[in-house]
Amino acid sequence: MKKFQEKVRRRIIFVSILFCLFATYIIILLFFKDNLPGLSDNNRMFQLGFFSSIELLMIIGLIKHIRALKNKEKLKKLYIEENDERTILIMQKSGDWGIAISIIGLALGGIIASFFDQTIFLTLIGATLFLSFVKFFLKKLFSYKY
Amino acid sequence: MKTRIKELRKKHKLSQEELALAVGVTRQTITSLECEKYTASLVLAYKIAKFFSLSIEEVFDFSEMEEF
Repeated sequence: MKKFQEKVRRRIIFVSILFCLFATYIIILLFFKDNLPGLSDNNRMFQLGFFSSIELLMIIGLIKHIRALKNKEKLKKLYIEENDERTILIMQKSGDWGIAISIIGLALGGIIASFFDQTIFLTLIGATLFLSFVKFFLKKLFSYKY
Repeated sequence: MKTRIKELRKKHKLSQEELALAVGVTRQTITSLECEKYTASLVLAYKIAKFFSLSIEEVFDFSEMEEF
C-alpha cells in the first residue's frame, strides 16, 4: 500500500502542476485576449469552456486523492477501485471495441465523403489508417509485454 | 459459473461491500460473481475461498465448465 500511497502523492503533484498551467492559460484567455490576435472569439470561448471543464474535473480528482491520502480506509477503496480485476477487464474489452468501431466509422465516413470532397476523404482515410496502425502497434506491444 | 458466494456470505452475515473490501475488489464484482455474470480469476477465487476457509472447489462449481 505504501507504493500506491506514493503513486497517489505523485499524481497529486502532477495534476496540481497541470492545474496551475491551465489556470494561467484561462487567465490569459480571459484578460489578455488582445495578445492572442490569431484566435477568433468563438475559438476563445470554446477553449475557455474546454479548459474550465478540465479544471473542474481536476479539482474533483484532487479532492478525492487528497482525502484518500489522509484516510487509510479511503486509500484502500481507491486502490481497489483502480485495481479491480472486473473493471480492468471491462476497460480492456471496451478499449478494443472502441478502436474497432472508430476504425469502421471513419472508413465508412471516408467512403461517403469521397463522393463530395477529396480533402475530407483523404483526412478520414488518413485517420483510419492511423487508428489501424495504433491498434496493430498496441496489440503487438502488449502481446510482447505479457 | 455457479458459485456459493451468496450462500456463504449470508451464512457469515456479511454484506457484499464487506466481502468486497476483504478480498480487494469492488462491490459490483461481488454482485457479478453472485449473478454468475463474471468468472473470477484464479487469484480472486483463491482469496474468496481462503476468506471462507474453504477450498476453491467448495466455493466455485466447475461441473458445468465447457470441456474441449
